[in-house]
Amino acid sequence: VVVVSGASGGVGRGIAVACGEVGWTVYVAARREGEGHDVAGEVTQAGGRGEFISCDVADAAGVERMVQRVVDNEGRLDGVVHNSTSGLSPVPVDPMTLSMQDLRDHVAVSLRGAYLLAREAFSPLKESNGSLVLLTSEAGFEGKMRLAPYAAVKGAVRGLARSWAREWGPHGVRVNCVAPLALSPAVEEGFAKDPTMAERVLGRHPMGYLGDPVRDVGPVVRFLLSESARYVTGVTIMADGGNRPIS
Amino acid sequence: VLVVGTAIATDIAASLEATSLLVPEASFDESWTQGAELEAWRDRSGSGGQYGVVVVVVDSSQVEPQIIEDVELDRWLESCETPFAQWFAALGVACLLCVDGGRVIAFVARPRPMDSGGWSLAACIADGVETMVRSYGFIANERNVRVDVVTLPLDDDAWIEGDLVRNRVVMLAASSIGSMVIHEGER
Repeated sequence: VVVVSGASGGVGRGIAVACGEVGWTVYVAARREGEGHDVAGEVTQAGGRGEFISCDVADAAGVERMVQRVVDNEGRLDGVVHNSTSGLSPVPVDPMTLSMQDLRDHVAVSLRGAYLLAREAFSPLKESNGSLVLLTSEAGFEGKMRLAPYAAVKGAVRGLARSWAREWGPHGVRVNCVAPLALSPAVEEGFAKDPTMAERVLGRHPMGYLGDPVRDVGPVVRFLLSESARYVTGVTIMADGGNRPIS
Repeated sequence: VLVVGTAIATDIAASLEATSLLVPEASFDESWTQGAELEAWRDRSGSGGQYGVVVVVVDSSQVEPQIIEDVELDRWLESCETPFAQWFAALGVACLLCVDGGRVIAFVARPRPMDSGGWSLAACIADGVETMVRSYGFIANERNVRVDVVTLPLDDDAWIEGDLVRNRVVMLAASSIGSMVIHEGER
């Protein structure tokens, strides 16, 4: 039984469907109800059981209710994937003039969301020797000129994961990150807003294409959630087709 | 030399015989109500390069270890979201106040990876600042301003002191190497 935040589209949808393909129960946690139900249906169609669950990861009470509801319904929780990012993630900005409210949106979704999910999920994950996966980005390694707030929160996520892996290892709970590069609505929006972005991203890409969320990214996250990764914790796996300036 | 940061910047500036510029003290709520004050400070502070070296230092956000399931929301906001915003604004101001061809040098507390259990708020800030520095480095590079970060191990109260900052500033200011990330004292 896994929860995937921000799963109503893009990479989150890919993760949810990939988990459904091996028969898992997947809670599609998102704010967008219509799209969330659609993805839950895709999970079921893929061979698992998809359930939509409404959740704003930046809201403490909402996250507490969501985790409790999953545990009440299923009697267990084996994995949590924090994939949600701010809707502002693909929007190019000048960090010198960025409004603090826009920065708050990045921080609240990516960092506060990670903290709240971790805090609420720890107890059931300890019961199941489960796993937490946080989505980061190549931007969180190298920084970004036009996406500085997005890059900053993605870098900060890696600090959380490294520390929580040490905290939770003795309890049998693993914490890892995945840095994907995939064709998602956010990336498409980024390409549309910044015409130079496609050339910068794909111009030197070793494999020459953006990953597919279901086929290229979802299985990597599924691996980290699975028993196959029982000895893997505190790492970041790059699922980016080799497109990294910093290894 | 200018030192931009929270209260600790005053002591560091004194040891460097430098000028200090203090980031407003803050303790954010969920809505970041005090963010407007920080934004106003940034907008009125950062214009025109005046300093060859700008040091940035924000007090360590975490003074004792605490496992994440015991961290209350208020504590999270105070020790993670607030300094995250202060760092973001302070680095921007530092870049703007640095002369073309100058150097911005950030000092941040970073728990040693193997000892980082219980120190996730500080680890979050440290890795976030490292990435902020890289982003600001890309931008400032257009003016040949280099942006460095020196991470210092967070294993005692005195994670930063004047002599160490002075030595690292002298070393980096004399270097022609581009923006650098230095993890000091990690094992």
